Amino acid sequence: MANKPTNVLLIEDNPGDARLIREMLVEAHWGRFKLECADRLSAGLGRLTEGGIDCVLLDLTLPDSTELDTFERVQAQAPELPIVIISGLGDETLAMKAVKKGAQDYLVKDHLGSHVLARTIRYAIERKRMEEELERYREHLEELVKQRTAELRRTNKALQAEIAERIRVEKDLKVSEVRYRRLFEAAQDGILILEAETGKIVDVNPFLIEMLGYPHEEFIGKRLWEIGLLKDIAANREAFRQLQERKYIRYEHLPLKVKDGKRRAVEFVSNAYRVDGKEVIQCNVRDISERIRDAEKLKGAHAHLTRQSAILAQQTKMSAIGTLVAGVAHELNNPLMAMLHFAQYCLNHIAEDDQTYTVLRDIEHEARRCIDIVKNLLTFSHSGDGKKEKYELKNPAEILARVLTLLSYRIEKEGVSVTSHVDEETPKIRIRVNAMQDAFLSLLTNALDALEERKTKAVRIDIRPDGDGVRVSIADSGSGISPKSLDNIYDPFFTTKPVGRGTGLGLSLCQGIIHAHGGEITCESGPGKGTVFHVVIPTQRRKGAKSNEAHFSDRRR
Amino acid sequence: MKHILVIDDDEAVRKLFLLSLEETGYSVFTANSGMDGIKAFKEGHYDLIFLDLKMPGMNGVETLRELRKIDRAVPVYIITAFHDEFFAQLKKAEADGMDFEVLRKPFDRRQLITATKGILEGPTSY
Repeated sequence: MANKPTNVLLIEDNPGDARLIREMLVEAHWGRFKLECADRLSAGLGRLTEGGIDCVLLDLTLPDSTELDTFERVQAQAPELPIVIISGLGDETLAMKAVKKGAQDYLVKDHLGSHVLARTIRYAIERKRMEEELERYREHLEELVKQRTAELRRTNKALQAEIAERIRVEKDLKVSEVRYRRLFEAAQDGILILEAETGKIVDVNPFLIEMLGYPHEEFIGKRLWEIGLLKDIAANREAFRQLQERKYIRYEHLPLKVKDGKRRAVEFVSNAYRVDGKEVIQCNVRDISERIRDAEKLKGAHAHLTRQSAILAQQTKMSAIGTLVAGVAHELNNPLMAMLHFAQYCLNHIAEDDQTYTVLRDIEHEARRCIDIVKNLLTFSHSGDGKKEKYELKNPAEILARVLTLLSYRIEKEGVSVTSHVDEETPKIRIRVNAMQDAFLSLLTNALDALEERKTKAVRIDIRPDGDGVRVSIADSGSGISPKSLDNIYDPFFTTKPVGRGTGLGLSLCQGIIHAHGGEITCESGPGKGTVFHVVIPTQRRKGAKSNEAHFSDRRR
Repeated sequence: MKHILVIDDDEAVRKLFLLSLEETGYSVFTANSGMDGIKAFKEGHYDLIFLDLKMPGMNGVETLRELRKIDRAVPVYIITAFHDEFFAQLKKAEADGMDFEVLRKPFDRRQLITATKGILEGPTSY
């Protein structure tokens, strides 16, 4: 119950009714009421402007206004106040209209009682208050709704923008995917995609399928080493682990075995990256078999070229030496010949028992010796010169037989045992017969010389096919050549023989002849182990050296 | 009496001819160049000429050609070591119809006497 008095404004022109109402309010149990009266509308409106009124009791029939209009004016003046209509018995319809228009209640004069009056006023105030609250609340809600709507509109706009963006991104993604897919499918290198965590293959491109000969299904789900792709499984697990760590691996030359068993060499480059939040490994596989083949060919050509250069250098050197030697030899011819004649003349004019006779004989002997040396030198220096003999197809065994015949006297006299073995598959070779004969004569003479001081005197000759040519091996049971000398044996004038026993030209001449036939001469020897010379001659006459070096190890020369 | 002309620029060679042919009784003359040799040949009468191939000035082949212009018949022994630089020219002269023999050096006393007698006396002489 409110402690404050309730201020009521009664607008009633009938003083009797007004007095009645006043009394009723005094009696009321419903709190205290303070009543103010106005007997006409204008007064009432005036009083209302002053404020402080809680409720208006209104008689619609007033001297200065009519019916509903009374109500409307009061309502207009104080819209926030509850208005209770006081109506006469016959005016209920009008009162109802007023209520419809917004009055809180109406009371019929004749049925008034203080209790009802107080209660009605109380309720009217309460109701009005609630109306106002409701109204406020409604307004508030409207405001909220407006806000919410605005917010929603904004959100909606944003959402729509986002959707448009999403669609655009998706489109781009699709284009990019198509592009990538096309690259993947059309690439002219092999591409493998692996799941980084497990190492399993998730995709393989057509090029790789074709290169390796395994169908698509055989790749998927397997690991590289499981499909037998890479030779060394252990190394590849390790490589894979490295790849996982470093995100990158490169093999410049990886030998592969493809399904049909053939070998292929590839360049294998792998790297890891993230896609859709997952780690993925991409392996690019490039077939470098051809590149390798070309590299090998190049290596071979280079080796051949190097060998050719070495031979050419040797030949140039020999040629220069030859020219020098020829010049000197020619110069010596006349003086030596003259000396010989002078000595012979003296010998012709002296008695044999004269003490100078032997000395003159010695002079003659030495002069002859000089002449021989010069003759050898000239032969050496002109070995590439002059009218060259023609090439003939000959069985090498024939040449060796002829040489053995030439040396037969010496072989028998010195007690040397000579054995020959000729392979029946030995082909004929294209050679200059006399030159080759000279070469073998030189080698066999050397062999015999090596055996002079030996207890066991044996020479073994072996003739057999070798590649597309013939190998002639001449072995002696001599004391061998020291490793140091071995480096020099083909040098002109190098000799290990005692003075007067050789000019040291034999082997260099020999080598020259063999090289001119496109062949090779090598020597195996060691102190106490005897000596073997191997001569390999191709069947077809070829200028310069053989390109295949496989026969000769470093040990031999 | 047979007369022999030796044309060689090397004094040692001229000397050896004189010494080694001494016992044959032939008369030996020497000239030290192709030019002098031709001059001597024109002025004298010779039955045999020894001619060195390698000489400064007129070499052996040129000298031979000149000699042959004068006398197509006189025997000429060309002295050469065979690998002579003028050997090819000599072959050409032979192809051109120049007549000559070759005495290969180095030769010793006996070889020289044999060759000389062979030409001058005929095959029965030695």
